[in-house]
Formats: sequence, C-alpha cells, structure tokens
Amino acid sequence: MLFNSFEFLVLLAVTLLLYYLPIAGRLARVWQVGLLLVASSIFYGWENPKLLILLGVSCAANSLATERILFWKGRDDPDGRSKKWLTAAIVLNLVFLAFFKYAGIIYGSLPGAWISQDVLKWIRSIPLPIGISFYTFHALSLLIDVHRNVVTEETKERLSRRGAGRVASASDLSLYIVFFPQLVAGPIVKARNFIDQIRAKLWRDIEWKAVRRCLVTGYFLKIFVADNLSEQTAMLTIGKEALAASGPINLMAMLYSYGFQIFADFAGYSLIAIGLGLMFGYRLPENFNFPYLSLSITEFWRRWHLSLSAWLRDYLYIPLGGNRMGSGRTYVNLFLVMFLGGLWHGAEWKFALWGTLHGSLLAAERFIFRSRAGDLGSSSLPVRLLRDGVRWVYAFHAVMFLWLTFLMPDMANIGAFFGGLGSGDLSLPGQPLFALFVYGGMVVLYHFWGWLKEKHPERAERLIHPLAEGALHGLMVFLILTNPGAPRGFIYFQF
Amino acid sequence: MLRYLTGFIVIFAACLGLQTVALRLSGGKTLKSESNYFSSVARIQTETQGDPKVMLLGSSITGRLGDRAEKIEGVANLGCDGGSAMVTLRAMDEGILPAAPVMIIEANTLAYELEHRGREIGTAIRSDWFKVGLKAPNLGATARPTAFAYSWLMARKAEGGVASGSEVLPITSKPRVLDPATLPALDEKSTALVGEMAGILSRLKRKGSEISIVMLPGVPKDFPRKEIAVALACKSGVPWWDLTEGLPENAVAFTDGLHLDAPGAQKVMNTLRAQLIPP
Repeated sequence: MLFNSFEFLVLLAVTLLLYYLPIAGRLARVWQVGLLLVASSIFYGWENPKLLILLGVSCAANSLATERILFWKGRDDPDGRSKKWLTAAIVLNLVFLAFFKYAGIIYGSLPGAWISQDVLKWIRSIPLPIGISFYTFHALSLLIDVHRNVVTEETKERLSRRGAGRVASASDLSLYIVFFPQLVAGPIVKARNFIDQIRAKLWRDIEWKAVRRCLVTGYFLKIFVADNLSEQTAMLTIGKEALAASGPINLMAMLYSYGFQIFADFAGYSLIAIGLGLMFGYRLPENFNFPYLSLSITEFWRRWHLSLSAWLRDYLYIPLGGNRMGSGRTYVNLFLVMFLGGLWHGAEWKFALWGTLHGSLLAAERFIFRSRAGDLGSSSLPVRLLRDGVRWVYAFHAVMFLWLTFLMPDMANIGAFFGGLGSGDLSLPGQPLFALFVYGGMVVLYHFWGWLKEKHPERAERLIHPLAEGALHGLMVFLILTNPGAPRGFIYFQF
Repeated sequence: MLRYLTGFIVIFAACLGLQTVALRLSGGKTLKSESNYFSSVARIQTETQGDPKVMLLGSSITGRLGDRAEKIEGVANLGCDGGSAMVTLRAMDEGILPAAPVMIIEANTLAYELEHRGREIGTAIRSDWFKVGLKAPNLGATARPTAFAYSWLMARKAEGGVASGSEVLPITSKPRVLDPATLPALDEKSTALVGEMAGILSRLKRKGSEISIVMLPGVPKDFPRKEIAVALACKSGVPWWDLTEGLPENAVAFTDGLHLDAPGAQKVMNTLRAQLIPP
C-alpha cells in the first residue's frame, strides 16, 4: 500500500479513530499495540498477503533469539550461549536477505558451468519482498543492541518476559519491526530508540504542529515535485541511442531533475513516515538535513539518509575498527562500508559501484582535508565565499553525476550520456527545462530555507508566523490536489 | 491555530478562484501540459464531453493534429501521447468512455500495444481521480496550474502555430476495404492482439459506430510493424486508408521526424474531412 493511495487514507483514518478510543488502564497499551500490528499487516500485505509469512517468520525468529540472548546475558554464561544465539540470529536474517535479494547477483556472478540457466532463471524470478532491507536492519539493530547491553532495563524486562508475558514481549518486538510508517522504507530506527516509546498514547499528546508540517511538506515533495519530475527523468533510461542523440542542455536538465526527484521522493517519504509516527505517538529519527547544501561528499553523507549512515556507522564501521586503527585501515573501512552500503540499495553491481565511488571520494576528501586542516579558517570573507562556492559546485556535481551509476542500467548508457554531453547540440528542450525550473525549483527553495535556518536562524524564526505558515500550506495543498504527478511508487520501496 | 487556519483557507480559496477564472478564460481547457501524460489525460477528459460526432483515436501523432490544425466542430481528438488507439478503444469497449458515431483509428502506432505502451494512461482513465476530474473541472488534468503556464509559454513560442487553409494532401488513394485473403502472416502474440482489437471494433460497430483505420504521415522508426494494422483492417473488415501511399516526399513536414508541423496537420485534417468526416 502506498502513502499516496486512497486505500491508505482510509486505513489511516480508521486506525487513528480506533487507536485513540478511550480505553482505561493497561488495556489501552495492549489495544494500541495490537491495533498497530493489525494495521501494519494490512498495509504491508495489501498487494500480496503472502509477504506476511516472511515478515511473520522474521518477527517470531527475532523474538525468540532476543529472549534467549537476554536470558543468557542475565546469567553466568561460560559457554557464550548469548553470543551463539546472536550469531545464529544474525546469520538467519542475512540468509533471508541474501536469498530473497542477492541470490540472483551471487549466482549470476558464478561461472556458467557451475549453475544451469534454468536454475538461474528460477532464482532471478524470486520476488523481492518489499522493505526486506529495512526490516532486516531493524532486526539486526535489535539483536546487537540487546547483546551489547545498550538498551534500557525497561526494554530488557519487556523483551525477556516468559510464559504468558511472552505474547506481550513478541508484540512489542514485532511492532518495532513492522510499525507501518517506517516498515518499507525507513527511517531505520534503532531498537534502543523505539521500544521504550511503546506505552499507552493519548490524543491530547499528539504534536499536531509537527504532524502537519511533516505531512504537508512530505506529500508536497512526493506528489507535486517527485512525481512530476519522474516523467521527464524517465527519458534518461530510454536507451543509449536516444541519450547519445540528446544535447547537453537536455541531458543536464534531466540529470539535475533526477537528483531533485530522488531527494523529493525519499525525503518526502521520510517526512510522511515521521508525521504518521507522531500521529500515533512515536518519534522516528530525521532522515534528511538539506543534503544539497553540502560542501563535500563527507558532509553529504551527514545530511543524506541519516538513519542508514548512522546504522552503518554503529553496526559496521565502528565494529570494523572505524578510524582507530591507523589511516590505512580507516580508508579500507570507509571503502568497505560504502561498498556494502551501495550494495544494500539493490542487488546489482551498479549500486556497489555507486557506493564504491562515494567511498573513494570520502577517502580522498579525508586525505586532502586532513593534510590541509591548518589552512582553513583564517581566510577573508570573499575568499571563504569563493572557496565554499567552489566546494559546493564540486560536491553538488559529484553527487549528481554519481546518480548516473545509480540510475542507468549499464556502463554503455553512462557512456552514451557523456557522448550526448559532448554532442554540441545546444537546443533548448521545452519540457525538461520547464519541469526542472518549476518542480526542481521547489527543491532549491526548500534548501534555501534550510540554508537560512542554519546560517540565520533568527531571521528564519521571524518568518515562521502561523498566518504565513497557514498560507504556505494552503498553497502547497492546493498544488498537491490540482497539480499532482502521475501516481508512482516510492523509489526506495524497491530496496 | 486560528491564524494558521485563516492563512490556509484564504490562500487555498484564492488559488482556487484564480484557477477557475483562468479555466474560464481559456475556454475550459489548456492547450498543452509540460507532461505528455497529463496532456493526454486532459485531452480525453475534455474531448469526450458534449457528444462529439467524430473521434480521432491514436497516439501523439493524432494528438498533434488537434493541437496544430484548426478545430472542427464536433470532432474530438483522443490522441494518447506515448500510447496508441487501443488505450481509448479498450476504455470504450468497457463503457468507461463514450464512443462516437464516426471513429477514425490511427494505424501508425497500433503495434505499440504489443509492448503495452500507454498503459499508464489506460490506468489513469480507470482511476477515481479521472472521474473526479470530469465532475470537478478544477481537479481535472486540463486545469493544472502548470498547464496554464506551459500553454502560455507555448503560445508565445509558436505564435501562429495553429494553421488554417483548405489544402489537402496530394494523394489519390481512397479508403477501401481490404480483401481478407491478403491477411499478413503474424506471430502468435500479434495474432492475439489483432484478434482482441477486431473483437472491440466489431462490438463498437454493432453499437452503431462507423470505423476507419488510417495510416497518417509519420511512421515511428523504432516500432513500425505496419502489418499489425493491415491485419486488423483485413480481419475486422473496416475501411483502410494509407495517407502515405503515393504521398510525395516533402509534401508535409515534421517537427521532429514523427509529428506533423502545423501546415502538415491542417492538410491531413482537411483530407480526413473530405473523405471521412461528415459535414
């Protein structure tokens, strides 16, 4: 089910009404958790109920493993059984992920003689369960946090209940994994930040101002900006002959549009998810912080898909040694984390290439900026402005051109894109330029707002007046209703 | 909260008012949208209103005839950019769109259906939002605020872009019914498609529509497959007319190799009017 579908609005309205029914005492919590589990199951299984089986197995297996880990951690554990449970559960989660998401690429990379084409065809026909990358990461976060002992005593008590309490324990854990606002495309929530929030919620505690800001901005970015840009950017994937025959203005307009579209699509989704979470009393982490203001790739990854960056940092980069084992190892770690982060996006080598190129730029920036750290800060204002301008142009265009590896089916198409850039055809394409100006312009304005908030917070604060905000939201809702793009799924649903 | 709501309602109402005025000034429809998808949806939403006597069904090749030639009263243009006549034919067969007494089907892109091109527009026609747009014009594809801006820009760019005149194509061919014995050999998938299309045409004929299949100037280079359209004409027994037959080179010009320019579109419309469009 999509956030921008009619059936979702019905599900949301019904769930919200039932969720805040006046039920007293401890039953309120049980009712609310149960209702969210039912609503999440309907949301997830709407198109294909069979997907619920895998999700259910994941919840049950992780619930059992969590209880066992907590059980053994609470005792003298000379055989290291908690670690064995942790390892087994992690392996199980990764096997699920590998089977459903990566089997095709793994077996496809083997020599032809090792595997028959029929088997390979069957493996490639296995459907990808929506959101498996996200809920697998949720489950891993839970298992590792519990094993590391970084969850609160309350969480430990909740998740280690036995006997009749096991149902409540499994419900809490399942809600963390399947909570519908973040189930299929994040933000990736860490267990320690979610489970303690599970308690009875009251209607009067809803932060309506934050809810409406998130929902209006999120739906605006998705429906008005991303969906309208997608028709133009689809031209980037129609084939290498068409790309090679296009002029540089057309191609660059489409490339910028794609950069704006993917931001609006994913940031829009994340904002909707955060707003929906708040409606049900749950705070989900921010996922974007005006990424196109970045002056380097390093900064970009501190602003783009924050919840994934934080997950990779906590559960991959730091366990690998982070930057504590010398500069050589740091570069290797950066490279490896970005390679795997790229591959997490999709079971195609192009995503690994995208991640690897980002990792290479991160490593290069670390090397350059560290060696020149002393040069910074003492320059005059014009020099600083010029330097920041050059850096912004570099970072923005590096990100934009690297989207090509993310979007294009193969290197031949990327080559054709660059062939088209050099074609010398300087005709002005009407539709792509218009779309870039109107819809992409909204992303630029949104980032200008972010820049103002960062650089001149007092001026930004003065602009936030209820009347002005209401007027802006009135305009945005008008455009959502009268000027939506062709309905499309969210780009990150495929991951 | 009150100030927020005041701002919200005032601006929302003002935008709605402005849009309504703009829609009236533009005669109830915009010329063009920056989106081919919405241009097609808008065309279908507006052109199916008011019981047209003649309908032109096809792709953007047909769509441009409506944009660039003089409007003929009672003739509706249902060209679907990126799709084919099958998108609207199916919707008519299902009773979602009305059919007209005379229907002219563009042959050029019928084979697109083998690749399901135009499926998005087909989905749009069946959506609740499409029906809402028919009932509430402000929510229709033709009233998109960006379509007003884009149409205005296009009108400035192409001043005098809509042609007039009575010149017809310099051809001697006429619509004719093809001999079923000349049915070209097709693969299984194409045969199934032709069978489905012939079934739809036969049902529409039974309901009283006069149908012709016409090959317009402008053959898509990526997917010509003219034999599909010929096979449909043979199987269904509806008149076939190839406007490219005997058409001298340079008799018409194209803006991009596929879509006719304004004078070319006018000549084609005049030619169709002379043979197929009742006075």
